[in-house]
Amino acid sequence: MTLTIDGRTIAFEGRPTLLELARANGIAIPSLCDHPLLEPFAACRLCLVEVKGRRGYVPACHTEAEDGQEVRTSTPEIQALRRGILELILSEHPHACLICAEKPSCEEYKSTIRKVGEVTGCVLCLADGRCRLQKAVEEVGVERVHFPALRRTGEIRRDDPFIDRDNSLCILCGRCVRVCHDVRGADVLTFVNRGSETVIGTARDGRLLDSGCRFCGACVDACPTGSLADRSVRYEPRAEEERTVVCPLCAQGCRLRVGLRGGRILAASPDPEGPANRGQACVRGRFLARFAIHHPNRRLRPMVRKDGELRECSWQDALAAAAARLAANGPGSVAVIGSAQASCEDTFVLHRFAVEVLRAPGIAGSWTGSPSEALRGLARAAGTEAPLNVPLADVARAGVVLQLGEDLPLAQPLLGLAVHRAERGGAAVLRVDHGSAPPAPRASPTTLIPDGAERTFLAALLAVMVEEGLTPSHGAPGFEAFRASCVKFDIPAALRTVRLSMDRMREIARTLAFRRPAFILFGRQWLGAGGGGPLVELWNLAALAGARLLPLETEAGMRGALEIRASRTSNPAEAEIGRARILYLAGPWAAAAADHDFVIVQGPYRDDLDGIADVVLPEATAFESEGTFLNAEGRAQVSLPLLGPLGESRPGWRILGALARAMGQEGFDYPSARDVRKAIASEVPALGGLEDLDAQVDGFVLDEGPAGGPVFIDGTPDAVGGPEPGCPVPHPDDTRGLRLNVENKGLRAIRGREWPRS
Amino acid sequence: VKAARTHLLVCTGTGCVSCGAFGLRAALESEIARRHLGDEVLVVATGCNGFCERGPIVTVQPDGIFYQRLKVEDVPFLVEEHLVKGRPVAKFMYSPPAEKRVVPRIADIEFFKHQKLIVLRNRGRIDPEKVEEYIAYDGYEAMGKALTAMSPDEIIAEISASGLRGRGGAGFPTGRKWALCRAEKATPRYLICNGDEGDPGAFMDRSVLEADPHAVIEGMVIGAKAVGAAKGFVYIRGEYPLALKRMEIAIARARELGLLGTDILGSGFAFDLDIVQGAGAFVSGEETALIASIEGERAYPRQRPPYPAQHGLWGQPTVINNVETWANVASIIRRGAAWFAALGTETSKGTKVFSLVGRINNTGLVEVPMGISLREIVYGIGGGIPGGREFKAIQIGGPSGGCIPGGQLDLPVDYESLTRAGAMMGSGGMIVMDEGTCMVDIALYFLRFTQEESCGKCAPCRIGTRQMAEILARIAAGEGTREDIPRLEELAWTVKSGSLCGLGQTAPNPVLSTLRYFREEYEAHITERRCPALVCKNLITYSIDAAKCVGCLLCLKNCPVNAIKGEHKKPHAVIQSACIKCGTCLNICPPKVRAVVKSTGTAGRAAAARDGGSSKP
Repeated sequence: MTLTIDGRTIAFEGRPTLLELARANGIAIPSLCDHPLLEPFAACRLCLVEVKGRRGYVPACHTEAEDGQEVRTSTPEIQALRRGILELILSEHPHACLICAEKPSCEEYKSTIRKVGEVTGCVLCLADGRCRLQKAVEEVGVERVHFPALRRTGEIRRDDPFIDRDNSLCILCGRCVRVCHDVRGADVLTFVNRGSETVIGTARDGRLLDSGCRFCGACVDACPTGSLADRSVRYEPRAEEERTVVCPLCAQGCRLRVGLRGGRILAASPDPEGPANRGQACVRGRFLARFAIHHPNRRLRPMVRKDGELRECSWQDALAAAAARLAANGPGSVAVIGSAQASCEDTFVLHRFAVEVLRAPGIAGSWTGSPSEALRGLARAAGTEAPLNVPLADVARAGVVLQLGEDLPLAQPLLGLAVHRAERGGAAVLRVDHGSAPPAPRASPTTLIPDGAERTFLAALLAVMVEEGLTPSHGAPGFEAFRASCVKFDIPAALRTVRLSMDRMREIARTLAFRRPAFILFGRQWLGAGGGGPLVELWNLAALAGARLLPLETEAGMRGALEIRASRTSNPAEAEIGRARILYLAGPWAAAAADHDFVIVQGPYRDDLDGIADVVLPEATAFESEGTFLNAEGRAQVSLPLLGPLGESRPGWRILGALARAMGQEGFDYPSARDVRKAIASEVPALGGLEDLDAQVDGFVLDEGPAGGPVFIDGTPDAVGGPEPGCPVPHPDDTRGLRLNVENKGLRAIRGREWPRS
Repeated sequence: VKAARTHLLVCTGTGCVSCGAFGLRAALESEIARRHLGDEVLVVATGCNGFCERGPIVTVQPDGIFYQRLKVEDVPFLVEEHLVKGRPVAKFMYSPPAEKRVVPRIADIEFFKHQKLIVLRNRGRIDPEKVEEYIAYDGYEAMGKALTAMSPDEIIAEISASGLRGRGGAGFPTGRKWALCRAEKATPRYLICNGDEGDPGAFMDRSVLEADPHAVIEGMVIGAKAVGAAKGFVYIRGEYPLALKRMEIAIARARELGLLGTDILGSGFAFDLDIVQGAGAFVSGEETALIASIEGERAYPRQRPPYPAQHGLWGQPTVINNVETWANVASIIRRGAAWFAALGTETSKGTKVFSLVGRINNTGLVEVPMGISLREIVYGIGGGIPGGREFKAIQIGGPSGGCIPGGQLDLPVDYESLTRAGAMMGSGGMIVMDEGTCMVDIALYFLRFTQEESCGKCAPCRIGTRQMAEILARIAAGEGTREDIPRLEELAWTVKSGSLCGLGQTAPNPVLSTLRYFREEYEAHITERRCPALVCKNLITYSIDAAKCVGCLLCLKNCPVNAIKGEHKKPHAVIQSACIKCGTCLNICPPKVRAVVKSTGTAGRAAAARDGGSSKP
């Protein structure tokens, strides 16, 4: 199909809008209210064009390209109209700087002081340079505003964490409102009042904090002006350069764009081209990267305990002290604890070090009993395979989602967006949660069951489905035995336990059975802290409903660790952690029961392990070191360092290389992270793709092969274990021991509001 | 329906209710009961009779005697004379303005004589809360015909052949709209009745909903069969409590009788209606904004295309017509397209309901055949301008419409002629203006209205109407400059061509049409600082003619700000610096004396100077 724009013939496919088509072909059409993630809104009216045969002017953002169309984008009338409209927009916005004749020469001299109560011009605005209104004025060419100023007045609102709101800079394009509603499903921002009184605000003009805001920052990123702004950069100069990094603060794998100046991190914002996140992130990635990197709790120098006190020392001394103790003890006397938040490189080298140098049975950590590992174990015990990837794009097209527990916006922000998209597309989202769960931020219907009734609920659901004949998978292996056990099940008693009516149960059963595609989401919360959760029931439910079971992880390095540990040989259990006399702690450890001869701690932040540590080895954060992370989707992405390691800290795999050398062991001196990846690729079959990952900008998604047919499992196999004693599962806000929800005032306020009972 | 010797039809339209119609009805009922006339005389509370100027109104049938401006204390006398003694009471009858004679029979009153009733056929004759009365006047006959004897295509063909066009303003052919919706594959489809009438001074839809709600329901069921919809919504603004109540009763009764529901009249056809109450935004009358409002969203209009017929309520094909359009449907199906098409002009068929208000003798609701001249409406039905003043202009189509000047009084009322003249049919508000109306002031009034009612979504409408209103306010204050008129015209073009929805695209019309016909009045405000109509306060001066003033102290005592000085039996003078131009002195000065003078321009400034000081703005 072809059409002409300003006389140029342009071929196109599909159903692009005229605006998209023109931009793709280098034809500039100014616009302020369109956004790649949002439905066209057609409110700013700057993209008006003429289409032959159509009356008047049509907005290019809201007009589909059609075969044979003749479009004109810059006739004198259109230019006059755009100028007229932009002048009107400018009459509501400070515009002295925008139309100033000295604009080009001013750039060199203007200061960067933004500590003013009112923004009266671009020089004082922190959107200066990235403001779309500046761009529009340039494109349209406004030199004078013929109308009196109709500025909105009012204070800049600074009563929320992270975000400043200044209505006097707002042009009411609605991008913030729409991104908040359409993309994030948060419904916090809205248009308030009518006509020329319209402003962006919240219900009852409350703080964002009191309006259910999760502070994902999407509105700040969507704002074309400085009306919604990241407060932290208000008083900072402009960034000199921008780098991207994969956010290590959870398992979603958001790519962030981070501004830097003089070796310091400024603001971070989600990368619109991030393969997993496409311009979205959450409060941690959006606002706390800088906080996490430059936090005063960072360990910047190695330490050794002398005379009962930790004292700073050189790397050489620290490594020597550690090496001496490690080498002096025989195989099996050291327990090694890793972190499920570390990169593949760190975990791989730690595993090698533990098994090959220390002769430890393997590395312990929060992965034991994790949803992914438990699910894979169960599947293998049943003679089949369970896919572990959480396909975000597929979830977004779901017909039904059964969400068991889990606070998605907190722990699974991108998955939360996919579920929201599915819901907007008409999917049924069945949320089941404990009676003691925090109130949902949205008024979405949640089925509440009493604490500890998870297994009963699932068993009852299965029995109801069987009783109702909702058994599309009958005939699958194990079905008859499964059905026999369901028929015996006492449904009325179970319903009394879970405090649900038969009608509600039937409704859930039918929704789950009839809608396609179906997904069941479960995480640690539903699996039970002590292990032994209702995994078999979950498994059978997925088999019965033809649903995909999605295990949810919160730690960035979990999937990588799972694949690495699964494929590498571990030594036979020569020691149990409880009996080990020496601990090598590269991950979280419940320090309370400290009964060990010697403790070596490797990590980026000071925490309560310092109380039991004999040697402390300062590790660089993931922001400062190159590393590979596998996100929830199973996507492997290489994250490059934003800056060199702070102080004397080093990447984890380099620390281990140096320690091995100090112990006289060869073969751990990898020259670069890339060499570690090569080693992983050759030794871990599932991660073979890491070989040439560097060439792939968007990484790659682990290929899990086709899913097997439904299989029913009877009874409770042993494969479902709990977490290892001593290895705590970190809160989603905990990054390598830095508890952001405690340390950061803003996040503390946000979390505090959400869990008023804790 | 109970038969009785005499029916007393008490108008309970909103106009009459506000004049005490409910009290009147109660008084009539109790008086009739007291005299034991209950078996012979029946009191019926009807919907709006139309002649709101003369409320409360009672029509006595079958005699056809029209009583007007009745009070509760008139009731015993009226009942005694007319109902007991059989002597109609002349003193309660209608008398044309400035005439002594009375016109006893409703059929002889000029106001009613020229009207042609289709939409309002049941007005003033049935009780809108009793479905039986609607049925007694052929109600639901058309629906029966459509459901049992007509195919959807036949219904659409009939509506198309009738030439019915949307009565909400833009005049889109109704048959074509239905056909477009029917051609869509997606289901379910929806029907919407747009009852969000918001033009200042317009009350057509309100009266239809209050007087004959079943006509709307019947029309919608026929439409539902035609486009294949099973669900409809009647959107009524919250400011119309009586319309809401009567529609609620009507829907409930229709459901009880099987006129709505799963198996209508046993035909197997299913359709049901729900009421949605508007929350008072003018923009909700715009169809896409109304749809957003039903969806529970903020009433923001959406860019068209896609049109609601393709992508409407919840993204489904939707037919949205206004109250009056729906109320036409049943009559067309019952009496045939040819009957309907015989009325009106080449392109505008049938009748149109107008609310006739402003400086006119017979204020009220009128239904006239398309093509009737404005002169017939203003002078024939409306009875001309009160006080023998000069007709100046008529504003048609509300804030979206424009003014038509006296020179064009013979303009036929149809969609095209009105648009050509710079006005528009709109939903049917007609505001008559006389020489005491300032056109700058009128344009400012409408611009302020649209500016306040602009939803704020698109920039040209939100900011453009505000800037236009600012300029107009400046001109009205005598502070305009010569550049203001071209700037207004340029802004009007920007707002018209740039706005998203009909509200913005038509908002400049009142300015453009007054500039077209009354440009010299704008210029007088700007160059001479003169308001020819003596309205704009900043440009007028109140002064006292010393030669005529008798020194009665009346104005002095009544001036709210003590801006008049003087002594008993000596001529008074206005203290210009204190005067707030409220006009109290002018109104209170006895007609025999007429010493207070309102002046503007050079004369006004000279008068002010005489009183020792410039006039305070």
